[in-house]
Amino acid sequence: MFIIQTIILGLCLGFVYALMATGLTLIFGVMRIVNLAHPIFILVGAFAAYYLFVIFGMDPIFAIPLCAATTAILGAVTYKLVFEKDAGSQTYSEMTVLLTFGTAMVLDGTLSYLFKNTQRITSPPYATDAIFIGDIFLPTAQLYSGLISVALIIGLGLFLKFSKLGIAIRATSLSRVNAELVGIDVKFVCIFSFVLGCALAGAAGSLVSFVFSFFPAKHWEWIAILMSLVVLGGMGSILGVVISAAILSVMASLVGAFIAPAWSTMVFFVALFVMLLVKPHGMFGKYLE
Amino acid sequence: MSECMLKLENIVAGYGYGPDIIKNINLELNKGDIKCIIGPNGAGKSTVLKAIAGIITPRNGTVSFKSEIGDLELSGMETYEIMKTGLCFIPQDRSLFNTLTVSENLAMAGYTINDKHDLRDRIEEALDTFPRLKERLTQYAGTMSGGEQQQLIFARAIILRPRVILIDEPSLGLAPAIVEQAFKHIENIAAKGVSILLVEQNARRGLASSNFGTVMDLGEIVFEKPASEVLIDDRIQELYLGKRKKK
Repeated sequence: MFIIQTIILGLCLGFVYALMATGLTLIFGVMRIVNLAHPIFILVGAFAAYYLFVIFGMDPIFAIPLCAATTAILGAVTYKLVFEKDAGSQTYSEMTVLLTFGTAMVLDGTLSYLFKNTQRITSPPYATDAIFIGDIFLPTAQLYSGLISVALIIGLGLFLKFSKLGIAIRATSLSRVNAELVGIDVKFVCIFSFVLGCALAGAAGSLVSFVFSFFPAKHWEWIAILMSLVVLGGMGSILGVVISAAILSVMASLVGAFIAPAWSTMVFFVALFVMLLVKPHGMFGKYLE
Repeated sequence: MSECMLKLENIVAGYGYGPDIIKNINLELNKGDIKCIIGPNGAGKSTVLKAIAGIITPRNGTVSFKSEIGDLELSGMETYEIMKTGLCFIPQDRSLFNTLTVSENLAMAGYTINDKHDLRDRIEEALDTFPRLKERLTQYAGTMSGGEQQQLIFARAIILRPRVILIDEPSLGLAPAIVEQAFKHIENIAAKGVSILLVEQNARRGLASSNFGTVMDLGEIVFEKPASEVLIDDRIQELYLGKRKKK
């Protein structure tokens, strides 16, 4: 029973991680931007959810659209200010690593200045509740956040699979030139995917706000985990990220339960290390050739 | 005189900050014509097509295109805008989206068509022309054979009902039988009144399907003639085999 419970909790957390990482992998796939500022967008979403809850008593789950809108707008502004000017440059991909790192520093500083470095967590009623299915004990915070993450990821998947714009996004991520050759406005698709990625970060932030306690510098910890998921899944592959997040998170919670909680984060980095040695493209990667 | 669909005047173009690859290119393409550009490696043949399609922006000169909505100046326009005007470019590397399915590839070809019924009709029509693709609709484009991929490319091209198609090296990397098929498709499309500008390394095969041949060397057009007369011109031998010593 204990094992099943650990696995289910790991899965729930895994799907939250997956949602946190989908935006990152989407932005990389379409625009070749390694967005080191992605986790700080998640934090912005978390802070938005926190204050909506504290001030207006708004449930973080219902605040998801607002949090997503906040980070989407922030993303659009960031894109205009930081990325647009150099979009045609030859060394764009390399440059974006520095640009997004800088963006992360600036936003980190701003958040620390505004909100101080204290630990926060949103505490809606279900954050501390739990349900029992037979002998299995399930904290509702993890359960809800996991289920909503799955729903959002499936929504994103359906959008990418069936909508015209979604197919255009996939086409652009395969080849920008070929996408232009069928008349796709690649610039628009890039901005749209960047903003969509940021909105996903905001949505994830809202869920994260009642699962993890957070503070402005928390994103450095997340970027390491998220990058390991993205690389493991194959840079740019959303399915890959979901699968690697699910597997690793379950492994991490098993390690946490049966060895020691302190070792559980290690799973992500060991997996990253092994993957880079054995199969550097990742599970579903097609980009790093 | 037949209608002139595409006219290049004094086109100069090159890559990045590099030198000019093509200089003072003047070229005309009439309705329903197939014109084949030949010349030795590095003559700038592909660059001409890229400059027309806006993949590189011409540094000088004009590209006028007679579109459905009137005469357009293409130089300076973005590639995706040019593709909406009824001009289609098939690059060397086949330009398919390998990990999208055949039907997704076809849908993307009609990206600029907003009317869903119209798009469905056009795709139907393209599939009637290339019935082999009907069996492959759910397959990834990259997993098909070279000949089938070739068919998909032409199917995608005719969905947009273009007035001019630019084709870069249709024979590259294909088996001889498939090359024959590709040129059949090209001739059939041109027979419907579409003008085709072709770059071909296999000069003999390219010219056999064309009405006109344009010979390029070192970024400039050397001469232009009806296709059947190109290969017997003395200058061809000089270009491909080097200058003959004067007696």
